[in-house]
Amino acid sequence: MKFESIKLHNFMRYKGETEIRFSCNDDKNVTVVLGDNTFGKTTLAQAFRWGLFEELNTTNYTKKKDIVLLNNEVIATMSPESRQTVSVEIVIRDGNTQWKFTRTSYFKRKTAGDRDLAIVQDGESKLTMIIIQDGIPGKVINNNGENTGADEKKYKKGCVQETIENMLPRSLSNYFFFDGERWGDAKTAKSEVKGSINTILGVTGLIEMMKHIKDGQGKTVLKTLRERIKGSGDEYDRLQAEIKALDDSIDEYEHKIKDEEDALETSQRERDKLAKALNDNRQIEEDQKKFAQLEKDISNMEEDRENYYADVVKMFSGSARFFAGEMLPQVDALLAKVDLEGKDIPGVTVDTVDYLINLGKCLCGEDLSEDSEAYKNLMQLRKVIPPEMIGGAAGKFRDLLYDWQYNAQSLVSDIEDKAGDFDSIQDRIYEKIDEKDLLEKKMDRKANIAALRKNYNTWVSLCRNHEQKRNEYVVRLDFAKKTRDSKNQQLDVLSRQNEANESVNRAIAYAEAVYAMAERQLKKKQSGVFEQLNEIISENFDRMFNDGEKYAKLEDDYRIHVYYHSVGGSKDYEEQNLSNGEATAINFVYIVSVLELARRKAAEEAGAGETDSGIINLPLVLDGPFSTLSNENTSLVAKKLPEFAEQVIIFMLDKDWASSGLDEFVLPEYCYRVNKEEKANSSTIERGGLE
Amino acid sequence: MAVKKEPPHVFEYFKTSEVFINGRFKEYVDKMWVQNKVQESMVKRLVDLYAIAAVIGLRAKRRLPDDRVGDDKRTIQMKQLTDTYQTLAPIMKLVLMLDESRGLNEEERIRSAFRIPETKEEHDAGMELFNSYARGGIEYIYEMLVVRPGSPDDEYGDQRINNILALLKDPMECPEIG
Repeated sequence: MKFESIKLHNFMRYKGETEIRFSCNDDKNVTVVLGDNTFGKTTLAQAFRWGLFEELNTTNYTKKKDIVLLNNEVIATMSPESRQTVSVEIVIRDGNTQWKFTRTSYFKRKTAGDRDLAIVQDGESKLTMIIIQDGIPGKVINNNGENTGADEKKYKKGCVQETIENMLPRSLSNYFFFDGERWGDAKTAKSEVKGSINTILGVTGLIEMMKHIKDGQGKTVLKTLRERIKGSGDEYDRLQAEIKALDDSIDEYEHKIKDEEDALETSQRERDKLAKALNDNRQIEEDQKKFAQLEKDISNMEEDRENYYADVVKMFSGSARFFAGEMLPQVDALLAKVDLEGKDIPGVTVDTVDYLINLGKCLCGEDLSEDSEAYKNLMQLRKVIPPEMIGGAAGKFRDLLYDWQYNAQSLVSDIEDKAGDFDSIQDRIYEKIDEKDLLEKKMDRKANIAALRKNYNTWVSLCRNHEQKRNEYVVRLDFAKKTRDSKNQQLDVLSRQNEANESVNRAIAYAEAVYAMAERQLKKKQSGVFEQLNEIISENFDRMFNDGEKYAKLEDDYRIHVYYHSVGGSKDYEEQNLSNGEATAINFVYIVSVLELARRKAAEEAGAGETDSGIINLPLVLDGPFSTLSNENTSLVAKKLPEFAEQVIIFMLDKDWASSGLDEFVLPEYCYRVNKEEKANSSTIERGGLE
Repeated sequence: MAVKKEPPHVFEYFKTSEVFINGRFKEYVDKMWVQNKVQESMVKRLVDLYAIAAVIGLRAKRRLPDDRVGDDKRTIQMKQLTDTYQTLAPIMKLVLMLDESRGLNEEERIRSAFRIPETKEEHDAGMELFNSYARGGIEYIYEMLVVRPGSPDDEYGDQRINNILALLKDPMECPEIG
């Protein structure tokens, strides 16, 4: 299935008629629309959404509710009474059959005043379809059911929209109409992925039915039926009261689970946004961390250096003994000149000499007057006899100096060792300072990554909290449901005793049987689908990356995780820091895998034998897919695109064209260029954009 | 009746009064020592500088009179002196033994070193002799640690450490005995 053309009439930026024909060539299956930002590439993507689903996306520039469908120049020329139309015509081809879908809206002035340019839609949009078989067009079929003849019964209200959605399921539209800005989003949010898979399986209706019978909130079929049961007796009343209370609890838990899931999804979106910002700024964050570490290292080393200096000072502070010890030779020389050994004369002490001096006469009768020779001799003797003799004290002092000299002999070398330590750490400090200066020149210190990281951690923790709470309520809900079911069974037994309940009981049994059947059917369809999707993801990952080391897997959290194959029996290691390019490429793998799953399931349903061609049969319409990618990653994704889908339509910036390498898949006539004159409100499209 | 003999009054060095460092010597000291800030000093305690200075003054034969201009001074507290007594007392002996300025002969110098002063005058004279060498030493150390410019022979990156090592390796002038 391929888009053949799209024709716009007064649609947003495009005044009058604008038509683009798309390449349906099997080999060169890519159509490219080139143009600068704000020129109107995204408007073309909007035209697809509106034409097929009457939906618009909020863009970078305008919120959904503020989008005006009618071209501004046309509005400016509208008289108060006039009516203008906006329409989009899309032609889809599958084999020899073409479908031409046209959606039209009418607009008029909001007020009759000349100055007020506001417009309003005049009535509902109109959707029509023409089926062209082998080039022969059929009748125009109206979506509103106003058809004539045989078509009146065949094509009822909503039939055209239904045809579109059978070809291009609305719930998968985010996959085949893809906005490049959303590549990195948390678009793989659980509910979205689950919803997509259920759509692919065609079980959405089944699930809705199960909700209607039993699983839904508020009044379900079974609840309503049970309320009709009549009973009596205390036991019956008690059970009914308990079931009522359990129903209330179940309602409450379901609401709380929904609240927690909504909060979880919001938190995950915020967390992922911040993770992307952190990833984008990973180098800055690393630089800032390294810078902070360098500052810390320098400070620590400076402290060590100061401690080495303090050690030098402490050692030097004891150097008085070193300097004194070095004077030992002078002391020895002095002591050698004086006889300090003393004389040991039995019984003679200083007191003996003092007694004789006081007496004035020696024991031998010699006169001891102060000028006598005998007096001088005696005074000399007095110095060398106990206790005045100092030979021992001088000897001890000499020994002390020797000890000082001995103990201090390594002082200089010890200080030199410390000086060496001081110098070597100083050298390291200089190296670190150089490194820091260099880093400071190249890094961005202004970006407050620490705050970003803190914010990210807060959201991570919020996600965890919501997840925990949700899981708690799920357990409680499960328990309450089981208890209620058991009580209902007890009630059923009691109610059977009352004949008046027979018809209601029959209805309950019937509803239960229908529910059980639906449940079996759902399980059967769902079983293995997760594994099947993972197989496709794995195949596509290999095609994209051709990397034997890594593989991708969709986990229970409905997100794709990338792992390295284990080495030597250890657990596979998860890659936590994917680059933007890798994340984008993986999202792309996911998108095409979901579409491929859809294709395989459709083929299985149709009983087709061959289901694994690996090419999805839905066209891919990509708006600005490379805007956030590096050249290298642009090339990586772009070159693979034509291999994944039957048809690829890309709206892209000129700057990405060369690096995309798409020229080998594009016929020159299917390359368009969006033009916008300066100051003009409208854009035009010209064919042959490469010339 | 036995007459109780009074013990002789003694005046031990470094045990009777604090030591003051005045005038320009105080300025020198302030460049080399900041209380409780080893990393901004060249010695840990002021009393360490005092002890080193006395030996260096003696070795360099540099005695200097006190400088009492103004009231600015640094005080070495009694506790510091007491704690360092085991170093200061031997250095005092060294000073008394090797000082030649008092006109004493060798034996008299040795005797003065091993005698505990019995009079205040004797004590004060000994302390003044010690302090005069300490002042000379403070100036000498200041010249070596603060004033000394770097030399091509200096081995290390930090000038303060180079100067400390230069002082430790400085031969100085040693008094020849006799």
